[in-house]
Amino acid sequence: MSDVLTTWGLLAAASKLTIYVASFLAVGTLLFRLGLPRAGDEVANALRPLAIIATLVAIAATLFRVSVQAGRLMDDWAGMINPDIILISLEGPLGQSTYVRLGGLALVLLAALFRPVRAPATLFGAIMVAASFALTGHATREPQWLLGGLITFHLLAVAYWFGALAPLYRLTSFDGGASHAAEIADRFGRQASVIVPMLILAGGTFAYVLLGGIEPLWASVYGRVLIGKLVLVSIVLGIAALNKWRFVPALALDADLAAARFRRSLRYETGVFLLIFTATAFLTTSFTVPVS
Amino acid sequence: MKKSIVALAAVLLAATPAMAHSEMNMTEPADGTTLNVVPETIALKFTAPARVMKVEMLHTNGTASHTMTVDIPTFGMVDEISLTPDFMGAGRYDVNWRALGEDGHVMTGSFSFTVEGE
Repeated sequence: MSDVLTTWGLLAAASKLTIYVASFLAVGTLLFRLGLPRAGDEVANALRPLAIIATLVAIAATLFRVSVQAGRLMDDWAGMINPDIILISLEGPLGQSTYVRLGGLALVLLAALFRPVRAPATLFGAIMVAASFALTGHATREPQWLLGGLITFHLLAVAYWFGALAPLYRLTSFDGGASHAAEIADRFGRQASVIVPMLILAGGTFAYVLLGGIEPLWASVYGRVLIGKLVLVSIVLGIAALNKWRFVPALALDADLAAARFRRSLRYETGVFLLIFTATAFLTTSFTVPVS
Repeated sequence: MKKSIVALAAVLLAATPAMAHSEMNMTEPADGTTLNVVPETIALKFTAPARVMKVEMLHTNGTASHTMTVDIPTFGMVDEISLTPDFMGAGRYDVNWRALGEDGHVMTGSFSFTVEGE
C-alpha cells in the first residue's frame, strides 16, 4: 500500500522531482559543453551560473529527501530532524544512493568552477550522479547488475538530452546567431539520433525486466502510470522530431520567426520533460512494482 | 500541455483506490477477522525483509475510541514481527503500520479485527 496522495507522498515525490531536474540540468549542461565544444565558450560561460545553482539545488534536495524519508517513516514532522530516524533512513539503499549522488554532485561543482579539471570531473561526476539513482528503489531488484546498468545509461542519456535544451535556447538568443545555433542544433540532432534510440531501448528493457513481461503494464497500477509516462515520452519524441526536421532547417535558412518558433518548441519540450520527471518521481517514491 | 497535466493527475488519482497490494504477506489476526477473545499478540509478516518503524492501533467500542502507539521491539530488518499492544477488551481494532523496505521504499498498510464477547 502507498501514501501517494498524502503530504508525505507528495513531499517525497516533490523532493525527487527537484533532484531529477536540478541534477540533470547541472550534469547535462556540462556534458553538452564536452559533447559539443563547437557551441563555444560564450554559451558555456553564460550557462555556468545555471550549472552551479542547479548543482547546489540538487545537493540541498538530496539532503531534504533524506529528511522527508525520516518524517514519512514516522508520519511525524519531528521525524524529519530526529537524528536516530535519519540514521536509520541512511542505512541501506537510500544512504548509498545519497552518498554517491553527493560525491557526484561535488565533482560536477568542481567541473563548473575549475576549468583544468572540467572534463574528468564532468565525466566521473555525471556517471556517479546517474548511478546513484540505480542504488535505491526498483533498480535494486535482481538482476541488479542489469537493471542498475540500464538505468545508469538511461539517465546519462536523459541528462545529456535535457541539459542540451538550455544551451540550444541560449544560442538562438545571441544576436546574429541563427546559423551557428542551427549548426549546433543539427549536430545535436545527429547525436540524438544515436543516443535516443539507445535511451529508449535501455528504458524499455528496464521496464520489461522489472515487470517480467508486458501484461503488468495494464494489469497493475505501476504499469498504468508507466503507460502515462510512455505517452509523455512519445510527445517529447514528436517535439524533438519537429525540431530536427522543421524548426532547425528553418533556423539554418534564417527564415522569418524561425528562432522564435524553435525557442517556443524548446519550451514545450522542457515542459513535457518536467511532466515525465514528475511521473517518474511518483513512480519511484510511492508505487510498488507488481510481483512477477 | 494542460491536457497532459490533467491526464497525469487523473492517472495518479485513479491509482489510489487500487493500491491495496503491498509487500505485506499476511497479518495475525487476519484483516477483517472477528475473535471471541483479545489476541495475545499481533503480527506482521512481509514477503521481503523490512524495518517496522511505527505501529498505531485505534480501539473503538461504541462511541468511545482510543489511539495508542504500539511498542516495537526492534528496528532491524525482519520478515516477521510480533507485537504486544495493550488491548482494551471488546471492540474494533484498526492497526496502521509503517515500514522501510529493503529497497529503501517506505511501505504503509493497515488491517482491522473485531473482538466480541469480552
